[in-house]
Amino acid sequence: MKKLIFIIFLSIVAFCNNTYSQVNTLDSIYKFTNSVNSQKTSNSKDILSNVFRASLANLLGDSKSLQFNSTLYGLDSLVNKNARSNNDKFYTKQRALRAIQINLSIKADSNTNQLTDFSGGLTIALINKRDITYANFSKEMVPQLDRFEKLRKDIDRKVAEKNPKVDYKALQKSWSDYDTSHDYKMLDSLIIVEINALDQSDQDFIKNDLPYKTFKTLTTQYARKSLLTISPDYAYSRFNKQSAMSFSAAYLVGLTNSIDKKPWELEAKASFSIGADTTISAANYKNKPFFISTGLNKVLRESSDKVSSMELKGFFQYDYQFGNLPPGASVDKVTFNTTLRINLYKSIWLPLTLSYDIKHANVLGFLSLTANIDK
Amino acid sequence: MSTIKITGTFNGSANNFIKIDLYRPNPDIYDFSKNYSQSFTEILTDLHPGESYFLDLTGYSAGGTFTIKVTGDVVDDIDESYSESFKPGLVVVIA
Repeated sequence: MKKLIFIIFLSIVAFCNNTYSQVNTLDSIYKFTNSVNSQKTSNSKDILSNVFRASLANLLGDSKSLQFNSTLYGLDSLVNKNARSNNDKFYTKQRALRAIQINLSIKADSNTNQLTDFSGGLTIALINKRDITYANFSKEMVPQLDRFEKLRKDIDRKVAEKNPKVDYKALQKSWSDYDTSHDYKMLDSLIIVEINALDQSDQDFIKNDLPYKTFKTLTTQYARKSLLTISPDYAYSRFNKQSAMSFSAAYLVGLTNSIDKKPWELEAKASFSIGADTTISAANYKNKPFFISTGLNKVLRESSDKVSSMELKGFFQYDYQFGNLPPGASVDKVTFNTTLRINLYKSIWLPLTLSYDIKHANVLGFLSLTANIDK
Repeated sequence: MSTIKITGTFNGSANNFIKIDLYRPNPDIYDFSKNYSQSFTEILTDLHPGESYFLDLTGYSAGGTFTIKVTGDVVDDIDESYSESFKPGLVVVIA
């Protein structure tokens, strides 16, 4: 059963990666790069994915679950030809589809090798300020680009006037090399002479490639804006032939706007469930667990493009049982938890959670495997 | 006089901008400059055969790519794509 679930997980990841990339290359001029989405933390994608997400939870326990999440935008992109044209007006119209995610899950018991539970639900973003269509970069970017082009044109005219036989293609290529590397030393020496003759403010503007830095700052800031979601869920157990319902909410916001610092995120979650007390043979809804948690997520390692590759979250959680209690159990407990997320390969992450029961000094561990498919 | 067609295509989400500058740096006898925030086609008809013009692009596409194509009375067609924030320099040689 473990192998079957792992094979299903890898198949889902491979199918979504392959199908989504095929959708992109069917339109030969379409290539999707997303500055804001790539900088969202793995922790935020656990709450609301960009396109698809698959995960294997509780790898070390007897009861494992396979989860698949897809935004309506992801499903629409697979079948809707208009969605694949991806002009900016259509992308704005799809905002509502990106704010709704379908969640499916199956649970299996390693001891009996049987599927035990099925669940399905939705995650709805009530606030999703991270969606790129809410951003307007023109106010900051257009004046910078106008200033850059005015300086570039003046410099090129002076170089051409002083050097009538200069190679135009070499000059322009050096501007392109500077643009790609963000290193002004890649510019032609004749251009650098003219830059050094500018006033200090204009020199710094070009040498530090301020338009590029402004753009990166804007996209980084948007990846850290507020996200508030609600998630109703319905589950069914094959063994006791009973259903369970839950309602959850999650809030996430970045705490730092500087692109020079790895981001911190503040997270708060709450959840209430109603299900069966399995110690009672008759149908019942006497298991009513509630929890509330709050904590901080920190990006520990990221690429030069500010894409996270390792994150550590620490959070306190308070659990309270409104329903029946097993013999000897407490009505509530407080735990301190840490989740270390490591990016193994491309979209595949390994979240390891350790939970410390403060009252009873117990430690539990949970290991999962997740894949965020959005490129 | 020669004619060229410049086609700019944004493939992606909102937050797109491009500034196109086509000019002769020396002597300074031609200067076309225009801003766009969505896909466009521009036909320019008053270009000198045998001359080289600077084509400067300054823009950004936060959620996709920008593709520029230059065709018509040119020695070599241009077909390039860029993403995020970009400001490359190209040369258009008129046939």
